[in-house]
Amino acid sequence: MTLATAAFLTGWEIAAAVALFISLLIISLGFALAIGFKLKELEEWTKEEFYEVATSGIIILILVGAVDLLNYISNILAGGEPFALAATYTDAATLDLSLIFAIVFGYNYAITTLSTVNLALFFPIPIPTDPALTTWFLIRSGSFWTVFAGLSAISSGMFNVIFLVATSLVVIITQKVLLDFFRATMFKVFLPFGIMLRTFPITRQAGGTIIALAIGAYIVYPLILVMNNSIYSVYHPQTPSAYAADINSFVGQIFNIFAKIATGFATGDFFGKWSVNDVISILTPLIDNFVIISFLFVVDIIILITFITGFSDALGGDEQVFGLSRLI
Amino acid sequence: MKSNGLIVAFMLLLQFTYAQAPFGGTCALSDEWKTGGWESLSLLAISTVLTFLSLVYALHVLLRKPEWYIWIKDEFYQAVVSLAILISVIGVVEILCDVTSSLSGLAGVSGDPFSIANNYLNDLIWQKTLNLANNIFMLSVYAQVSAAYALDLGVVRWFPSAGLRAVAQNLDFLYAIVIGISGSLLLQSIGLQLIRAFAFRIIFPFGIFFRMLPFTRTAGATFIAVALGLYIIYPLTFLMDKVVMDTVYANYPGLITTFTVDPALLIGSTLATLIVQYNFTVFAPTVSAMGAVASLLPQALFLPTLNLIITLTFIRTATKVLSQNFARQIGLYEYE
Amino acid sequence: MSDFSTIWVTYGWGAVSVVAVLLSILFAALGYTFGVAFRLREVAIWSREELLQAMASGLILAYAATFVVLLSELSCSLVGKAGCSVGNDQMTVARNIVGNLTQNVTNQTNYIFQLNMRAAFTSSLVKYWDFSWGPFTNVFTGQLAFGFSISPWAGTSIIVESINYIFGLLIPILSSLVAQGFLLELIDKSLFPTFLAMGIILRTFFFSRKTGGLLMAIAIGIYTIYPLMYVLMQPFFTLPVHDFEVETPDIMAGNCGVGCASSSGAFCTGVITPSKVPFCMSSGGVIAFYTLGVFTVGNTLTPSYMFYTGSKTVNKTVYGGMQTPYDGVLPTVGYLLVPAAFLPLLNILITISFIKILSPTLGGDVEIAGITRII
Repeated sequence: MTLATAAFLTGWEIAAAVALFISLLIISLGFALAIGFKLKELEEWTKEEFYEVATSGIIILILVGAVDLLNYISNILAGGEPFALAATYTDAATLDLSLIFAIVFGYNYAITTLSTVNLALFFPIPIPTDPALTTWFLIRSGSFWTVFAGLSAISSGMFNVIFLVATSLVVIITQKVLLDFFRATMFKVFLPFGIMLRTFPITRQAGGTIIALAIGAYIVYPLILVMNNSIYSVYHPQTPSAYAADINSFVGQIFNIFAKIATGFATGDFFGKWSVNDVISILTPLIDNFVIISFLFVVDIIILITFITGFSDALGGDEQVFGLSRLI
Repeated sequence: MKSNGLIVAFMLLLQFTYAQAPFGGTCALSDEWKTGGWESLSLLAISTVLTFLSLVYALHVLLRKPEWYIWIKDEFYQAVVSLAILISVIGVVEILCDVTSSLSGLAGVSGDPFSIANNYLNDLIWQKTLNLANNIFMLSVYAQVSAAYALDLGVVRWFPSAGLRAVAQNLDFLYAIVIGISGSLLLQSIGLQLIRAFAFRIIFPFGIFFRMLPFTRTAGATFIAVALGLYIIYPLTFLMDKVVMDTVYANYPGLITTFTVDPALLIGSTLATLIVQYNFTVFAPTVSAMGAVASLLPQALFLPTLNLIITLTFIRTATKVLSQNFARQIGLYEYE
Repeated sequence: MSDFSTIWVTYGWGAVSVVAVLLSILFAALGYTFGVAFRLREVAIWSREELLQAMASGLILAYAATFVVLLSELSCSLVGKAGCSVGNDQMTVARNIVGNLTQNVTNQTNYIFQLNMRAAFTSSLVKYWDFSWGPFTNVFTGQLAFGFSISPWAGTSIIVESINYIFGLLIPILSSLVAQGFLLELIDKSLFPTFLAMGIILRTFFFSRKTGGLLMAIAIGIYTIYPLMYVLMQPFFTLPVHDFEVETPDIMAGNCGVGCASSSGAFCTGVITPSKVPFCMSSGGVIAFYTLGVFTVGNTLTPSYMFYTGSKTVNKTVYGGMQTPYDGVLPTVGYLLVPAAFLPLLNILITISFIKILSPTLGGDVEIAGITRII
């Protein structure tokens, strides 16, 4: 017999039923052997296995009948379709981070460029003895200076902080990708796979773990992101503004820099207007966003893994499963 | 009576096993496990132990040591159980040939699981991960070269794109992530080749041998479980990964994004830099690169980790099962 | 407290938790009935335990609001303020500590930055004279030249390079302090009430008891221990700001005595008395050097300032502002690494240890998903 007729992915209930049937067949054979040869311990073992297979069957029935109920409950808890609401958080954070990246990048770009501006000038000193020689020989007196060379300190400082943008973006996009990945695969592939593994004694622990993983990833993970959305929507950093006068806008910071240069030349105080406070106000949205995203990401992982571990224990899975990953 | 009945059942199992697929036939699992002569080694080990037990039995009768008889009986049944495990595993593996053939057909691929796993990993490493790393590296080099470009205009000289150094730093960070992941995947690919060559030819016979000796029984059970887990379960998890990713591509084609750098675009933007003096064309590809790295993580990090977890869980469970004293457990004999 | 009340009462999380407890009691009752009917002793025992757990959850949710107030009062008493008033609890005290340090570090960084602006500018000044020959009628015919150039203050570049390196630490240090302040605010306003409410609800069900207990432990830990550590370590979260000025009228101390007409001077950056500021240079001095290559009073004394050792009447010595006992640039950065890097890490480790101990008491997980590996 092959599994080809079971259409594993789209007809997982049939595949699970076949696996249950094979298990029951093996248990029946064992029970017959036990009765026939009067092997009491084997008889006890077959009875225990029968209860486990019956539990697997009940799980299948519950999942077949209650998947819609689970979705309904999670809709109520989330206040809407959980995956859509979860995607709201990741999309909003990604947009904010992209804008912040543009501003931080733009400011660093401008400051670094300005710090490299080198003014060179020379004065020709003609040789007075013979005007004709002036065509061919010339004494030059020149000098050059880099007025804003000191801004390179800000570049160096920002250099070590800008990587937070990449970190935050990768974290938030990963959460979005995982959300879609779980939606596409957990109930369609992993859950049936786990149920079938749980049916056989030697793979029961692995099966219980995978069932817990599938339910945790499909039901709990989106709800966690919805919780993140409720926190982020209130405490996300100041959205970069479009106003030119605001330092936290792409145009505003360019104007700000030119204003400082112009003021310096006008008043003769070239350095007095430059301050680290501008850098901090540029970096503050980035830092705040990094704190929220990182902290929530760590807590999300903790909640998800703890739920999977606890649920796995209830299903007969391996509660040490995530300790095993230490070996990796 | 019990023992006789069990021996009869055992012989039936042997007949059934050999009727399914005789040695030397083709099998979708893999054929390496049949080579190397490990069966004769295992049988030789079993024969050696049985011979030793016979000698001890003769000695116990000669020297009148009744307490030795209990130990001999226990060890004899353990040797029989080891032989039963050996025959059963061969039989299960042969049956699995049919099962994996069906699963491969459903996944739309042909060949044994090792070949499928190899192809899947090669595609993931070379087409996706390293390709992405190369593109990120190229973009980073371009950013750094652009940053070094100096412009002289009369009395003023400056570096218009010096700020791209910070962008290059972000790209280097992404590059480090991707290269780390590809290194891990390459290790798994090499590991699969080693498993294919050695798991059943070396580890499994050692496991049978160790299981027969009383002081290495648990180690032997572990070896057997490791051989089974690595040779059978681990490649099958890659088949599962292939099915998973095919499902993802079918339902969410935009989920996995790629990132490529067009050299013509880079050259064009360099020329633009000469004219416009500011190069912002690196910004958008940088964000795309971050998206591509993030979208690669489920396939390159999550699924391989899950494969290892499933395999290790199976090995733990199988070790517990195989290290038990089956003969005593099914009530075949009791201590007198 | 008001934020927890908002979530618990206004948003209805309290009502949700009541429903959760009732559901849990219902499941336990059904299980007990099943266990008795089919004579499954283990199921009956499990159901009895679940009933007890549901009653415990009910007690917790009944006294949740009171518990939060007591927690805050306890923390306040530990802080040393008996009977905290609104807006002055342990979270506020901790945020003030971090906020004050952030402000001081920003001011200190500004002084260092201004020093760097002056030093970098000074070191970049180069004067050259060369003798060129060739048809210079147009730029395409080309010329050959030879001569010499001088950069009298090139030695200042070592100061600039050092400060550039230091800024690579100072900006991350400032970022760390900003992050700590924001995290404290986030905990106070959002994380604590959300996690506590969610933990109480999740603790009610048997399959999510570990998660719920862990969330409650996290909420209590970040609300009490985390800010209290800032209060306890307050002496390490201070920084006296130094402006690198030399307190002596000695003319050798500065170089703006002549030519800096305004109180700020051209390249002296907003200080009150430019003559006391390292690497200060007047406009006249710059122009004189830039055009004629002439050393004047307005620019000559900078090199000597680098070697200034200070007069006997002054306790502080400033070698270009870089290194003096405790008030130079380098010691400042070394000192700041403690509150910016070491102490937050210690704080997090202690908070995680507390959570790890409290979590099993509330029915939560011990391993915290591998995070405790770092302890």
